[in-house]
Amino acid sequence: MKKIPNIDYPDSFQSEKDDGRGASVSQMPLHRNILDNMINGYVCVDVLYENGQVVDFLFREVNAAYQRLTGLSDVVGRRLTEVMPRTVDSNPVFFRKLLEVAENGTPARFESYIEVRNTWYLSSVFSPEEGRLVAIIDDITARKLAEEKLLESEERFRRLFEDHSAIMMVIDTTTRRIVNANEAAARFYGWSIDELCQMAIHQLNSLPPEVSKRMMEEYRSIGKTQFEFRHRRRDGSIRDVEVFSNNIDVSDRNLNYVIINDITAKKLLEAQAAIRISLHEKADSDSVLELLRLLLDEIEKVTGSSAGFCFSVARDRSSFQYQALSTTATEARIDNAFGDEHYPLNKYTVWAGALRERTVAIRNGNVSSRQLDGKAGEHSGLKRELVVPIIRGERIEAVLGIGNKATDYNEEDSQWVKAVADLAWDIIEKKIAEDDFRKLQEQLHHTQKMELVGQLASGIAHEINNPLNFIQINFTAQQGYIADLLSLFNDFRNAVKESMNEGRFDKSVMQKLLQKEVELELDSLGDEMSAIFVDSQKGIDRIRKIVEGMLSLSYRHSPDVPALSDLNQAILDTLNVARGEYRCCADISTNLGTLPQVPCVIDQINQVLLNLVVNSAHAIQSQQRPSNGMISIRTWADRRNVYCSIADDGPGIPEEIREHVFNPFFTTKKAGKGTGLGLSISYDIIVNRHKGEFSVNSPQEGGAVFTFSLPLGIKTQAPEYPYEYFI
Amino acid sequence: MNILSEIVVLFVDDELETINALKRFLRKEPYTKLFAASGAEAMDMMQDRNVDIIVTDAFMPNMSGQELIRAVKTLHPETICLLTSGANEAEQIVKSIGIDNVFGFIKKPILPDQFKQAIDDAVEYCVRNGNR
Repeated sequence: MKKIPNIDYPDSFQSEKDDGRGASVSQMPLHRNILDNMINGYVCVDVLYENGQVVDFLFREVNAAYQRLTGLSDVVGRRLTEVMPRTVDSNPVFFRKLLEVAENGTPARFESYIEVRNTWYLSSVFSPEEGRLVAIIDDITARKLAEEKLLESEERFRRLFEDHSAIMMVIDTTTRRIVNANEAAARFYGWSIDELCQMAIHQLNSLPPEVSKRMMEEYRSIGKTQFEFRHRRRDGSIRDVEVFSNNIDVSDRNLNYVIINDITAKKLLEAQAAIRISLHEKADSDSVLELLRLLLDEIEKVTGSSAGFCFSVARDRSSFQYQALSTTATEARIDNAFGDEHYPLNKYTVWAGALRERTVAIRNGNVSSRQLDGKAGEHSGLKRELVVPIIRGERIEAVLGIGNKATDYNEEDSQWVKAVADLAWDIIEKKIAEDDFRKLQEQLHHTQKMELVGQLASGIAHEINNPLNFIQINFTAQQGYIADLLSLFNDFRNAVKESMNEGRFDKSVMQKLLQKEVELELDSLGDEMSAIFVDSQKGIDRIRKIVEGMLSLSYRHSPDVPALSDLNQAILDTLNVARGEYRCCADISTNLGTLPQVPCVIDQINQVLLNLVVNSAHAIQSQQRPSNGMISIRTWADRRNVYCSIADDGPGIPEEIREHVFNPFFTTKKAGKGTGLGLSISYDIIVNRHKGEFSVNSPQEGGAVFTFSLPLGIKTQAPEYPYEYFI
Repeated sequence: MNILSEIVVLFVDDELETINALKRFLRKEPYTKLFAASGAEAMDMMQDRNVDIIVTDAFMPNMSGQELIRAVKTLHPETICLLTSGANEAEQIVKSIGIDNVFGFIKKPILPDQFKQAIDDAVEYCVRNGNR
């Protein structure tokens, strides 16, 4: 504040005293100028005494500024109480101050509010000589108002900081210490304001101090003022927070003003959505086990747990069946404790509780009840557990749980895990259903194959039976021939011996021998014996072919992985094995082109070929015609595919049912003669599994033609076998 | 002349090898043996000459053993019919032809002695019943 200079008033200033007006003017032109031109008001009054007491003041001289500042005119020669009576009444302090200066002679400077003017004045009053006061006044209303406003706003901001429901703190940028914190911060973190002010900000951060410091510096260098951290509260719980941070310089101190927003709930929702999305993305490629593990890993991560597990519940609700563990739990070999056995439900009381109450069950530390004590965590060494039953309709399908969070599981954890588990289960359940369906489909394929095998078995038995039969008969016949031969040979030997002994040759014996030769038809006997070998070899070859065909049809290649295969050979094998089915009703004509090897699962293709050949044979058989029908098999290839057509001259397929023949369980055979799966499964094998084409038509000349193609270039997809699970 | 040589037995099988094997196996049997490779051929032969016993395979193209027996029994009811088959369901097959129409059922692969015995029984039956 500017000080009013102490003006040394010369004697001649009191011109009134000697009434030397003219003379003094000429002596003090400069003074007069100052007074008239100064912006401060100047007033000079005489002190009026009464009984030695100061009672009033008499205006002696004012300058122009005084008149302007106070709005008072023609005051000279008038008393103060007369000029401003209301002020004297309403502002006794003002008047007393004047009195004091007059009495003591001590200069005073004071501010006073003059109500009638609605103005604040700063008055500097001094007494240049006894009985006289001079005052320099200034209008300070503007400053006063500004000050008032400032005070007001300071108060407002203080209250804003202290009472606001948002968590706010002021942090020293250099030391990272908390300089101030509000009530909301204290409530949120669990420490009092005073305690907080003893702490550094990094003590709240879940990251190591040097990491959080480095991150903050990085953020600041790029002008970032908003960041997300995880803060640890007094009770050890971790919260996701969004920090709004601004630097302010306050009296050479660089402070960091932060507002902290608890975004844990938002983060949990985001995490929930993210888990759902990633499960969706993986649902096609991953197994149920992998999906469960992903889910457990995520839940574990978000809740800060270090164990996750999922058990299915047996249908009778009496036991659990281990299904999946989180990665951490697997690495920690918690599975050693779980194994893959069924767990009787009464043993794990937290879980039993979850099932009984059909709601989330939490166990934090040891449970006081003697029954629960120890036992509850015994199976896994889990200190804390949160167990969510997954309920569908009336049935509890599974139990999903997490464990070993650093702090107690709370309602928020429970709600979130339940929500996530429910959402995720929808996806996993669908996957399980798909796997079940695939498993069922595999079973159907297998069933149909078994049906084929059963059907072929009697034919194959026949086909082996016939050669076996004639080999057997020939074998016995051969024994007869050999017996004859040996008996003749013995006769010869005896005759020779006898001749030697007797030293002579008995003609009659020779004649008998020759006669026996004729009787035994020795000439043809030799031929027949040779022929038996030839025929037997034929029979053996036939049996071998059938056995080879069976072996190649039943050979299991590594689980349905496509391999380069010879379709023509597959056809020949099929014909050998199916011979029993068609031999009695149809002849076969083959026109097998030169084919490149085609990538396929040959087991499956064999199943298709067998189905088609057997179907054709049965179709022809159904006509009960007097002569054999014809099954014509043709193969050919172009640059992209190999093709195979199997045509028969049977009854053909009426147009109205042609579109149904690939439907499962569609059959025209009598009940018990076929399941109606053959063509639908063949279709599945060619079209779905090998990305080939499959068609049927009945030409005008009759019969039916089935044609399929197998692509050469496309890598066939091996069907995924469902992983073991126990729902 | 042995009376047995007048008994005519006709063997029907579509497998040439089987026919040949039977010829060899039965070469010393006293009865007269005829062989046919199909039901039709058998029926033809029976038009020309008398057949006392027919031994046919069941499972043959065009005309099965069962069909042949049915046809034979219609035209020549006196003929004794034996059926050979690898099928297990002998009873069912025999029933389908008519239990009185089938003298014997011989399971394949045949046991040679039993087979021979079955034919001998049929031959003896013929002789005893004075078919000749």
